[in-house]
Amino acid sequence: MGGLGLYSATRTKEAAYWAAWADLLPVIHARAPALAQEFVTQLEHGPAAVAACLQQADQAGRHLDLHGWAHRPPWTSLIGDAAPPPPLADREPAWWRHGWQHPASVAVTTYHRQECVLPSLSPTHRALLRSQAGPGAGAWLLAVPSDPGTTLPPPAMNIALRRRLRLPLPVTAATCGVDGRGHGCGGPLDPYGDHALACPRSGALARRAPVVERAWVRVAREAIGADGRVVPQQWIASLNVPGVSSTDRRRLDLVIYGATPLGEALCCDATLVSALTRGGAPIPRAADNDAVAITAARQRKQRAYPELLQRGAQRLLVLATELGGRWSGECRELMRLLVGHRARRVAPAVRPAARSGWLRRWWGILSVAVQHATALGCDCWRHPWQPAGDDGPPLADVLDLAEPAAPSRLP
Amino acid sequence: MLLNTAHQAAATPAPSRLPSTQPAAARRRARACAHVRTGDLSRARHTLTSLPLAPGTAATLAALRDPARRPPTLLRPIPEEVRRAAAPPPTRFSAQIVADALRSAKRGSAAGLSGSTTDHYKTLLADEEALDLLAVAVTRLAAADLPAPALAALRLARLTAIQKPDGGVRGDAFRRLASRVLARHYAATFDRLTRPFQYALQARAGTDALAGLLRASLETDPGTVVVSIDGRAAYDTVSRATVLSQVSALVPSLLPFVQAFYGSTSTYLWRDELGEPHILEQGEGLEQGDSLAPALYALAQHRTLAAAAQVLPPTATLAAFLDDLYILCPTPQARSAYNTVTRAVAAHAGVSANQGKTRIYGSLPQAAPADLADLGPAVWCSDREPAARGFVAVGTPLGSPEYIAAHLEARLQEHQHLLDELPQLPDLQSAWLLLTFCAAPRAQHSLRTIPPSATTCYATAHDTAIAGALAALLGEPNGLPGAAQEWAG
Repeated sequence: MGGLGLYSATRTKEAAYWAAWADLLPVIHARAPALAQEFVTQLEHGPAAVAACLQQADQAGRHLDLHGWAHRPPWTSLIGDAAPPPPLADREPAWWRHGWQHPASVAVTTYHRQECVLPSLSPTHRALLRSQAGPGAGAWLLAVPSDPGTTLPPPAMNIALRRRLRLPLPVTAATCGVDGRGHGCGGPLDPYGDHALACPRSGALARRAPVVERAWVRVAREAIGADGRVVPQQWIASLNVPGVSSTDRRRLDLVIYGATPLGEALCCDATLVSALTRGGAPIPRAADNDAVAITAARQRKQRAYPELLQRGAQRLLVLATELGGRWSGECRELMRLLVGHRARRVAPAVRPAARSGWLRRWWGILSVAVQHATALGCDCWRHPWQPAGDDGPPLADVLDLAEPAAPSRLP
Repeated sequence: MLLNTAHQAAATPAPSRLPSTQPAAARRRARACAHVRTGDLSRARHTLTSLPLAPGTAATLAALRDPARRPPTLLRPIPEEVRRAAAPPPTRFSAQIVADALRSAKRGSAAGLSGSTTDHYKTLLADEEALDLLAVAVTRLAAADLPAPALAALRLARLTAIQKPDGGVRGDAFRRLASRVLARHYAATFDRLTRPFQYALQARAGTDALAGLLRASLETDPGTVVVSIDGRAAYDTVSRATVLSQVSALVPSLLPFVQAFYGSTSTYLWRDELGEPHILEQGEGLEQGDSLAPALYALAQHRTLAAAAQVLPPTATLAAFLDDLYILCPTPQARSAYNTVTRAVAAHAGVSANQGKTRIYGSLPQAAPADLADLGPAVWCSDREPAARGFVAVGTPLGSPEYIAAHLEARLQEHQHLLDELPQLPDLQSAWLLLTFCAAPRAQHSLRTIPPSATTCYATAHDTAIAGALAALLGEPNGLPGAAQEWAG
């Protein structure tokens, strides 16, 4: 949703209490059906229930009705052949399966975001919050620092958390380009890094671009293995694309061979774009719509590589990411392809878990790379991001990631 | 070879560790970050907040050898018909269930006496053929179809003394894997066989269900009280004869494995502070680190609970969370219900009640009935001042609003210990992961089991504490601005 995923206990306490009763009624019903039926009868009476705790459970349900949950099941449907809670949607930081608590809390939190938070924000803040949301956008918040590719050193982590919360970044130069390197537009730099990250003359674009490219190369190589090939920085002239001259100086960030069922080469261009201008204002429509910067980037790249738009032996994939962390649909499509490809090389007994583990690992690598790139672009931190190796960790390490650590519900 | 290695390990003093120059707190924090890097956040939290191991002194050894807590010999003979029971056809375990059990086993756990760890076995997950062979090996161990010396080696275990004198038992990794596979395979069976009393063996909401049952019953009928009974050293003293009889009668295909490990006296190794090994014998009870132990305990206890429920009045409800027993009944019947259940459990399962932890509570403030006087002044909770009127069942406070508020205040202080540690960790990413996965969700159990009207102040204080910890991680001495707090959610 664009935040850090630290659910507010104050806001979600009714969801937790209602969900606990929804989860526990079938358990009691399986052991003491008469008591469960008695409790459900009282719950149906709402404020007239004899037990105060049951009155409050029903009251918590009504609170959820008023705060955005349209699909709350009635009490009577929760015993006997109870319908299970709906399946998990796209995971975000700190969303975990807790029976009915997940859908109840998500409904309340989404309602709060839509009705309270977004309307109260300035256009700039709205654009940033949207830019920080979406599947995989917060994967760095869950990444286990088990290898350099998923590790954020303290300065980078500090910048990433501050950017996410819209807090001032560590101090840096006051003016764009006054750093002895001759770059910059000379305009004033703001404390949030907006100007430094969006200004085309600050040097940030050149510094950050290779970081995400290298992350994609690493992920693709871990996925493809010996079955295919991943070529970084491929000259487009060296490909036999119809209509491209041999003197063409354009280069693709990476080309992946052997990842698709039909065998076409995936010509990938990774790009990291900002939803804000260097003045700190949102780009047109970004305050009220998701992925506006990504759509604009896609159109730019399609104009840059018209020869690759004709489907045949190759496909153009615009791997666009917003600085907040939002990924384009093509990124998610490529991830699905790569995970499916990698999972085919493991034993069937562990294939579903391996798929889940690789997915979490690779989103972690990419998302951490975006945060590294952002920290570099903010000019507060210069440490390069150096992922190690192409083979990836042993399968057993990846399988540990299949089920992210879930908090205990025990006291 | 395995047996020889285990015997050698038992006989050889462990090399003493060189003293570290780092302060203990810094070492503990570095260790916690190392656990985070392996993805084991739960262990990282424990490293920061739990008590250290018991000292390797003669007093600890004496506590571990206390015959009242760990009977060194079999107190009740195992029935002959159980010993001679015909071996049922072995259950063949698939590579899938073995892979699932192995995959979900925690990494980095200490080795048993053979030196093998779960991490060694996890390397087999990458190879289909190796997994198939492992499934065959687990199938044979589950049927106790191994040469006698190999089984004898697998029975030896290492004992770790935690601050409670129960001790944690660390058996061989392969045996632990087989236990995990069996626990998964029979999970639904165990749950079905231990209904309607047991709430601990099903996958979800067991503690919530029991807490909800008790609270709603007490509030529905103010004349009802709950009798809370805690077993004394229950895991270490439960009768192996009862365990084996129940397994033989109810899950016969599990009998060979259970008989192999609990059919005779167990031998554990414990090392003192000089690394000298000491042998401990245990004739009754189950091993604390065994994945099957909760189910075996529940099975052993089930027959006695069923017998007691027959004697209890029809108005009474009996429920259990492993060895924690709860009886809901009218106030006048509390004493007889207590006697019925405790005598049955002691007689059949060999577990005596810990009278010091027995509590009886009803929602109406009233003086203790005369027939409860001999149980001690701490047992009856309904005549106390409001702030002390109540008790804790499965981690949830049941009692007056003041009692619940005091309990939640104590919980906040307990949580603060972890929050105070986080800014002192040497790695911000590790500190963040512990904040989001361990510290922030700590309120969930209370929010789920206590009505919202009683958790309003607690929830606010919890949110403030989490925001304060985040501000401390980011070096913001004045806390986070309001807008940033909104974004954090």
